[in-house]
Amino acid sequence: MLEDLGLATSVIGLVRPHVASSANPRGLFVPYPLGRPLGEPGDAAFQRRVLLAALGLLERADGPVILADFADDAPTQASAPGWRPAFALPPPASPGNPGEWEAALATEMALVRPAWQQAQARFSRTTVGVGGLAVWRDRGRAAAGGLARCRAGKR
Amino acid sequence: MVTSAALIRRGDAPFPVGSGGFRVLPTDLPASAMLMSHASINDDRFGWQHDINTIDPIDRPHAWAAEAVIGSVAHAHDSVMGATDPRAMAESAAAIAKAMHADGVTAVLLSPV
Repeated sequence: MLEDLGLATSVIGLVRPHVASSANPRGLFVPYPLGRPLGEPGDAAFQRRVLLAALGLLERADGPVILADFADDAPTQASAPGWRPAFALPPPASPGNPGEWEAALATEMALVRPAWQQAQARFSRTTVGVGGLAVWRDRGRAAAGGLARCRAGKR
Repeated sequence: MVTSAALIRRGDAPFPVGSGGFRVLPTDLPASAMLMSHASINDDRFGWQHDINTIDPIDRPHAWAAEAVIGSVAHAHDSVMGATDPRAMAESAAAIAKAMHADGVTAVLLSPV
């Protein structure tokens, strides 16, 4: 639409078939997860490379449809054999034992909460609560108990 | 720049699902003043929460303008709701284009999520 209105466009695409089928005048496919068109959070140099590749399509004259591939994986998508989570999760609960599931969930929430609070302080954003439902321990326990009963075939 | 991440100013109403509308976000609006209201549950959210430039590279073009990689940066970037039927966005596209022309914009980077 913007092209028809006199503006040159270059689009970054995360799903190659979408970029190809939409036949944009200039499209750059990037092999990153949905939600990461620039590939790598906090890495200005990497983002610059992606952006310059997209803007560079504006200088090409081999249209009317250009589809280019940005082949480089984002650095954090590379295998990291030594990676470990920041905390050890509790042992898996026994199927069909609501009490164990409730305890495991409560333990996990207690472990995750400080990291969430730290992220809140740093970024001022969260996806917790987006659904408009309050999050509190009793509801979490109820959910864990319900899940355990489902697994036990009681619902 | 136009992002389909349904970014809004903090405090504004979220984009309704399927909205064909758009929001104008001044270029000098800090990342902390923006929230994402995209309805998709398939998008990675960590990248954006850590660094807005992962989805809407608002910080980088200023440096490029200073380096003369590009001529200048528009005074605003625009946000729309991804996964909307394009036919519902025709009026918004016209309004965005009109404002961009008035701002001297010649090229647009489209950044879907």
